[in-house]
Amino acid sequence: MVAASRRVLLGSSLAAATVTAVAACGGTDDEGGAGGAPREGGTLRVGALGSVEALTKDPHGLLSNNSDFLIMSLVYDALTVPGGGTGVAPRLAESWSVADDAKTWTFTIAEGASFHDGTPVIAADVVASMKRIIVDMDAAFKVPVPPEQITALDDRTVQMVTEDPNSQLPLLLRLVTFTTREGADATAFNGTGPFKLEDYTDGNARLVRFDGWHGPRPLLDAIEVTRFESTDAMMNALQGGQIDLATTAGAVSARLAEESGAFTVHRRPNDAALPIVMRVADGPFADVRVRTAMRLIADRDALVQQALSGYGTVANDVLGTGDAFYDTSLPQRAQDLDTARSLLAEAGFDLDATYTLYTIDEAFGEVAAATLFAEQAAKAGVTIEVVEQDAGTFYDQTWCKADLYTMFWGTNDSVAFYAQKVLQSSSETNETGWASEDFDRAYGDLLAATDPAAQEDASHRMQRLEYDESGYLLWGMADGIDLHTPAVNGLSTAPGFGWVLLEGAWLAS
Amino acid sequence: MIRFLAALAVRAGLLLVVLAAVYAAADALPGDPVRLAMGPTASPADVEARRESLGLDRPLPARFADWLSGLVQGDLGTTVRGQPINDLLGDRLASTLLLTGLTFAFVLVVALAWAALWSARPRGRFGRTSAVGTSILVATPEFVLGTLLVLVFALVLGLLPATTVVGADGRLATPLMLVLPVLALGLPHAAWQTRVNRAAIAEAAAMPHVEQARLDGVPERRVVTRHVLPLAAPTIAASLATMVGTLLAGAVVVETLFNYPGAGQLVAGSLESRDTTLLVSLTALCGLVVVAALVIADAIRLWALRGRR
Amino acid sequence: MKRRLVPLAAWVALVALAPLLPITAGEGAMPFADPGAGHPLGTDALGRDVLAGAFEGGLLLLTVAAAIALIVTTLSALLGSLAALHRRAGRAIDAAADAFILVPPVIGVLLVVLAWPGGGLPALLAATVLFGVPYCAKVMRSAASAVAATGYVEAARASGESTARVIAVEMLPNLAPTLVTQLGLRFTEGLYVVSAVAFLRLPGVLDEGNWAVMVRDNAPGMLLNPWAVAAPAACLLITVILVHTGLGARREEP
Repeated sequence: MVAASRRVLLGSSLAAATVTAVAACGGTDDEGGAGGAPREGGTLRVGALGSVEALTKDPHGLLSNNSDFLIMSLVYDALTVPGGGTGVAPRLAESWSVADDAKTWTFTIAEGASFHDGTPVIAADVVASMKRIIVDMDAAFKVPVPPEQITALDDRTVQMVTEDPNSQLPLLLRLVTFTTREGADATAFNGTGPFKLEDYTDGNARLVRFDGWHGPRPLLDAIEVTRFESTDAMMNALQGGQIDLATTAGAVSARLAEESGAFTVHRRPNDAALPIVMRVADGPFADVRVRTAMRLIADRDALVQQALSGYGTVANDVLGTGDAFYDTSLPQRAQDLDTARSLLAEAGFDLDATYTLYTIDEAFGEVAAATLFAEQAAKAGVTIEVVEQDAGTFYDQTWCKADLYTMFWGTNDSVAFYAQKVLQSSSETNETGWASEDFDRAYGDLLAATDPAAQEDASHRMQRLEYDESGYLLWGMADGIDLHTPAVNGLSTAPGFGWVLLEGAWLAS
Repeated sequence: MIRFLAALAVRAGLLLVVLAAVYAAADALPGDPVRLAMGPTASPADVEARRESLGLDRPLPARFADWLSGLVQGDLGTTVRGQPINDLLGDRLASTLLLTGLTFAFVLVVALAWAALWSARPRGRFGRTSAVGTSILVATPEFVLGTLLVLVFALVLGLLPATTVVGADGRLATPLMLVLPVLALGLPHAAWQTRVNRAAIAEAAAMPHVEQARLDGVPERRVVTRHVLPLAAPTIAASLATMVGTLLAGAVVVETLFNYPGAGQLVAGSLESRDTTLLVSLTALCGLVVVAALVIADAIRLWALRGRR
Repeated sequence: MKRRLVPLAAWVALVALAPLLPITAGEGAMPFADPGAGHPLGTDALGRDVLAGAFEGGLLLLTVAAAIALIVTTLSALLGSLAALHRRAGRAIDAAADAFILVPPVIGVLLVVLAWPGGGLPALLAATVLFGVPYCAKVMRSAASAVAATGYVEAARASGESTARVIAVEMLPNLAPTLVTQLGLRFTEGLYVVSAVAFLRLPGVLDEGNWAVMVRDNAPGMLLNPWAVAAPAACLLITVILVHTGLGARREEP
């Protein structure tokens, strides 16, 4: 459902030229809107998606709503945030270091950090918050450290000792590690972040600049977050002038904005992975030649153009495309139906059978990609039937179990993240049943390595194995897409959850 | 009075049966609410720990009994994410009742006026137009009608806001935001009710003693108020009472379509997230409203039948 | 009666034959393209031809709605007749109708369909029948009660004819007008439920393109190509109008 005032409709034929799209490169900041020198002041009105039943006021709770996550990320400080050349930038932790065992980490709390009520942040607050996440909220997956191994060395230093070597800990702690005051009500919005809460109703919030923030002073006076149930409703509000920035709006909305010419499309490359997942452990795709054939069947350009309306980039079957050590030397796979056919014949793949590709409408373009891939497979003689499932059924019966399904990962951009969650053989959520000793060893090497060269070497070995053998057909990466009026400037282009980093944003007059 | 109380007791009993059935059915759905809430990054151990923290590992009857005793005390329990359902529903229930209440009033007025005009001129152009017009409206799904309304009134004409936006103060930015939702929800129901009203009036007008009153020279106005309307009232009331349920069901679709901050939006979400407690709480509240409407209709019927036994 | 059915019959024939027309949905085009060469009504959310989609999207939808109407009406007529003859059955049907009124049909249908993953069309049919029959049977019972009170039904029963035979021979033929009316109403009701299910994005049911799904999926691009929404919506409306004028709900039910 899309609507606009007549003004917008008329405007569409006139000003199609104000649209800019940022070049597809990582890093932070920023493409020009109306531009000029950064200006202080103003209230940024932001729209974010969020459903009622998932609302939460607890920064340590399950933040499934974009709107909740945005509010928390502005009100609270996590230890680290996405950004910078390595993908990790400091926030509440101004620096960190690891001992030679690659297990003993120390984080130093930023100088001058204080809560919105004026109390300085001490290490005990961080320790209590991490323990609350792990123990009270049953969310050990957010902080992969045994709770008793999180301790305060002094007022400004937190030590975390992981069970096994983990050189990637600061990366894994990005954004999820919001700190509240020890012993105080954790849902009171008494954060340490760049903005403090002024008003809150039903997932909508008005936040004002916290002048005592330890980081660089934000330029905006205030940010108003409005929660929307659907992208359509959010787009209506953007076009009706009720918000200035629509976050994670999706490709169709982006096209709409480009056609109307009234809005700027802000693209964050490497934002979401939409792989097709093939079961390695057993079933029709257990033969690596079959998996390679499927990877050669995919017309990646067509998938990006049609399923993502062009708002994405072709990928190369390696998860973690935003990683600092992403291996660009691996040859780009492209459609090669002849080779695919002969590989399938070699492997004795049954071309008379019909294979079910389960999919789920979780991300923009996910179902469309499944449908298009089925059409492409038909050209190689493989009959694929696409079955869409609802989330409840999908995660119960298909995920980590089925032979062939699509998946959506929008949470991280690192090779190590995917290795830990879905690729290493010991993972309980190994989506493909892939068990590669070589890969596990390379991942172990990555976690144990403390110098960048050794890390890069290990990471490249992991990626090579993933490229050759794993069960993932990663045809492309969807851009994150935010839409805004030309006055909005200074948005982050960091992948993953970079869209929540609004402390650097400013409004041109 | 005894008949009335008996009817009330039967309806309350039925509601209890329905709630138990919905609870059991929702609980039996494939899918794990805790996994859905925590997402794919959580490990199976985390999911299991969370399930225990929430008490979801207890057997179904125990959980239902718990919820039921909470309901009696006005506490609906918590969602899978640990949010109190009372907090979640408070304002939204009021919003939904505002939307459906306004729509109900709209339907009441439009359907009575339309049926009266139609009954007065059953043939001719107005009658034919009404017959076709109500047919179309009755059968147009709310979301198709809503989509078309937005296309015309918001998109092409730019007269009305297409979506509902709530500020941080929790209020609608403008009352105009209610217009399209009320129309999308109300027009099909108004058309239906118009047909029911007209049929009930025609049937009542055809009764022998009404004809007789006319022949006796009783003024037309008096014939309508003293004879026709009392005869038609039980049918009209029964239909209106039934409509309360379908209005609430329609709100599920309309609220989603217009981003309206009501409780209807939660229905699809609670099913999607397999949140049994939330779903059955919504069903209970909806059921209570419907029961209230049906009981009022029962009362009207008994009143209309008084002395005629 | 017969003449009024002509437009409906013609429309059904058109919908049934349209998929055979040599218009293909095509692939590879830009989503929500304006009407133009090759795409008289533009393209939809996946870049397919809207006109071809509208041609292909009717048959299944109409078939499902017709199946719902037939099953619900037939079952209800049988149950309603039975209830008119036996008080106890009558009370049971009243209680069932009163109970089902308390659950919004959307919740009920969603519950049944979700409980049966991969159930697809049969699940949807079962759900709509389950939630349609009690109410329809109640209506049928009041019509059947009038028939049951006539002399020849009472005479037939008195002469010891079986209930099944009384229903089949004496009652159902006399219920014909109500049956036709109910058939029309249940058809639109079926169309309505199927559309609502489509709107709430219940996967696995009616995933293939149909008018209701087209309206839903193309609504986000309404600004880019209004035809992607207007064409399937118009098809739905035409169907509904023709069914109503054809099967004529002349006698309203309370």
